Amino acid sequence: MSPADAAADRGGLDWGESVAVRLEDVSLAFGVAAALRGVSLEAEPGELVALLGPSGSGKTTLLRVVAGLLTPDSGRVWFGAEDASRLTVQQRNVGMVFQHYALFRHMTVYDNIAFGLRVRRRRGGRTLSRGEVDARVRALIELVQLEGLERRYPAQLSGGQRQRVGLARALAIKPRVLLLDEPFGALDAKVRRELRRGLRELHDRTGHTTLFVTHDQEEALELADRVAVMRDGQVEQVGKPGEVFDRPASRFVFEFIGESNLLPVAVRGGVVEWEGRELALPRVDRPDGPALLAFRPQDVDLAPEPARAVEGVVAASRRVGAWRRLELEVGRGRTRLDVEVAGDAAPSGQVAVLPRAFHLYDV
Amino acid sequence: MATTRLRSPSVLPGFGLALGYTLAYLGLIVLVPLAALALRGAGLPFSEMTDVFADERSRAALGLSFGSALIAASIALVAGGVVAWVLARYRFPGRRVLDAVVDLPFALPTAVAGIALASVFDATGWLGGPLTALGVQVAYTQVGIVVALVFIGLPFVVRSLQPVIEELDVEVEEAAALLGASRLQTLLRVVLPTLLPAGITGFALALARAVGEYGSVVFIAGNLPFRTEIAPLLIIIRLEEFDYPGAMALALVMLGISFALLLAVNLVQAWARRRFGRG
Amino acid sequence: MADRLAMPAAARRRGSPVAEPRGLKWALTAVALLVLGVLLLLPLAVVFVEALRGGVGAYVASLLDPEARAAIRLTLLVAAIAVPLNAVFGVAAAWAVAKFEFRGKSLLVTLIDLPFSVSPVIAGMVYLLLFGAQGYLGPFLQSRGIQVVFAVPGIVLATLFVTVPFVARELVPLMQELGNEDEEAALTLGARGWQVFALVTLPNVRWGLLYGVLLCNARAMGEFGAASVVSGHIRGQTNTVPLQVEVLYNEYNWVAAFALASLLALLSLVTLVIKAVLERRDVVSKAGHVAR
Repeated sequence: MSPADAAADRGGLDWGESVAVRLEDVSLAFGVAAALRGVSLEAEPGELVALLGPSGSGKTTLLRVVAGLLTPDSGRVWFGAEDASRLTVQQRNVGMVFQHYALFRHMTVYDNIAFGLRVRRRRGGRTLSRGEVDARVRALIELVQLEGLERRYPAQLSGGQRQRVGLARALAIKPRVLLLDEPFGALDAKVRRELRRGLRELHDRTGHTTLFVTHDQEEALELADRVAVMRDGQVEQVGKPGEVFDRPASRFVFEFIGESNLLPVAVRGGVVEWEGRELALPRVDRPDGPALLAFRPQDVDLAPEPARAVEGVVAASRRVGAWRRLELEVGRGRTRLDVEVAGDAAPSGQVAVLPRAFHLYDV
Repeated sequence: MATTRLRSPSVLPGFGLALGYTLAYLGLIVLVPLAALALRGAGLPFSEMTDVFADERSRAALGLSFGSALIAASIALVAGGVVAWVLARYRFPGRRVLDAVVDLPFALPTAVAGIALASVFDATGWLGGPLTALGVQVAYTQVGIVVALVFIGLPFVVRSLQPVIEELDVEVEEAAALLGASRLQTLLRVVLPTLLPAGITGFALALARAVGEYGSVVFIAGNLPFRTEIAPLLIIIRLEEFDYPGAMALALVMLGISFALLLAVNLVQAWARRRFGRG
Repeated sequence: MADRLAMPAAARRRGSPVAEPRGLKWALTAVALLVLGVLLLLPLAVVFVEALRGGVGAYVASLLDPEARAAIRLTLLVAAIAVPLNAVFGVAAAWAVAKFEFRGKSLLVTLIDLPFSVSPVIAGMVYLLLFGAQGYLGPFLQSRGIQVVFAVPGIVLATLFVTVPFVARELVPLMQELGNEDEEAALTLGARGWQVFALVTLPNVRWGLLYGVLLCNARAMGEFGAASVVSGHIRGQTNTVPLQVEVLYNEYNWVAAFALASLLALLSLVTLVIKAVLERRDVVSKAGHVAR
């Protein structure tokens, strides 16, 4: 499909060509603190990749390296076939939306969005006529649904509206990569959910390669084509949301994404043993030794054979929608487990449970 | 008490005492003397006022005072802007000391500043010497007056701009750069408009101070009537001649022009606040 | 490529590639240093250099000269009267303005700031108009044989006028920022009015009060314009230190003039140092003494 046809396909506006973004063994330290350690990551053209992790994991630092706001100590960033280290911030043609939007307070919504087009026009980049600038700005305003607010100043807008201005402003310059730094971080929960949907639709329409940073795993799993889980300056796992959720590569990823239970167990001859008793679980391919049995509350059943299951006492029980949430105290160590069972079941006192899906991690 | 309608009720004691003392003191020390001026001024025949404008010497003095103040405040705005930017944004050895030095004109008595500046800039002075060799005369000219007024106006500009520069959101400048703006474009289109309200405030403060300044200026000015005689000096001369009406008229005209000037600046300031955000 | 002159914003950011080019930074810094050095530091240096030009002996002799001593005594006297009075006023005004809401508050604040916006010469003049021979109270005072203008009382009054706002301007924003909570808490614990004030409020504002008093004092001792109008310039009697400096300078007695001036310059240096120290303790903001 020719670019023009593709443009027509995307609602009549040319969003520019999206490229792949590749980070090659990027490292960065602030003084003695290493913020990024040999990070390698790739995003395909048009892919929406989430950088997920707790504070301090380096995800925002990574974003800023891609933007060119930080220069790595080692490693390289590629935009398609172009080595980005040769490019200044202005030349990278990267669209970025900051966590607090960084809108130009003294300019109207219209002027904010038109800014990138106007400064480039003056510098003799691609010379756009006034009319072209106007057409593009109006199309963007329509895209983010801010019609009627063109003459307003940022101080007169709600948080969600400001975020959309930030987006439109970044999109105006036909970026080849779109970077979002905690785009919903500053908003309340309800607005956040609505905007999430809006962002996904927008992405589907414009097709930009997008990297977005979040600490909210639900958001990452819902929005992204692929999720990169980060910790302490390294990427722990990259994969589709389903992969990362179902097959977490490490204990950290497992605990960070979704809810988790961890039970100290021992593996002997491929059999999982808990407090001396054999659990009715499939054999595992793992050397003998202590391990952590990791499973989600949703992956637990009430066990038919209590002798070969995890036994304990119900400490708390409450109905949550169609399900029932149990808090169990199990074993000698009185470990607490969260367990979800069918709503109509109402066990109390002694119960025995067994996970139907689990992972084993080193202690 | 009748005051409960005039003020919000509060549990804290001492309002009456504090306010009463404040008003009494203020009245006695400030208001009564100023009222005397107003009353005497009101009693002046209008011709006395117009005479001020008719008299060439008074005109020259007023023109010199206000003209020099405007020029000096403008120079202080630019120079002070650079100083404020450098102090707020850059790190270098001795920055802390320089930061404290900015307040010097504010802390130094005007007479001391006056003789020091005169000494530095007169024909045999540390700077005056070389400058005179280059053909530039500072002392005893309007240039000297402007230099002295820049001296006293600088801290007002710097201290008005500095906190605003420190609070600038760097992300906004980063956003501008990402959108393709060169550093110059970012400074002109994004940073400067944000600093405008504070800049106007600094300018206004420097201007107000410069118009009435006496001690720092009289030594370097030369004080030649019609040429380098500032309005406050002329007022003193008239007082010494016991020409009270003449002195008062000049003083009132000075106050009037100052008031009008500052009103204009306030209006600009209000516009700038609305347009560009808080100063 | 990455800029090594770090920006103060976030500690995590190293030099931002978004800042000015290196060369421009150095140029701007040089300009700033030039402005501050030439315009501010040079005059300060000149004061001390000229004062000591005749050697330490001449310096000390100038200060011990009877006229100089009289000027110093007068200046100290004026300050000793003006500063405490204005300090008390400042505290009272700040208490009224910061702790309460009432109609006309902004008018009051404007009035307190009034002496700030009046030229010192005009400030002196208004006292002349009130107490001078041709003034309103002139005949009354003459008949009583009381001399106000061209005498010490006039200088005190003029200095009072000019320094009225200083303490208040420091305390009002400070007390506004501190809020009423501490005082209200003290009240609920049973403290009475004066106790609240002395035990809660004053300790909270002590550094701001100190700074305001320092500024007030510096201005009181250095006041020139208003004092010049009111003083009469009677050597040995109605010359404050700044006025005596003027007299000496006009007589081409450089060393003596700058010697006296150096005393005031030292005072201002002390004020600056104390301000820097208070700033370190986050008590005084840089713009704290600039009119709002």
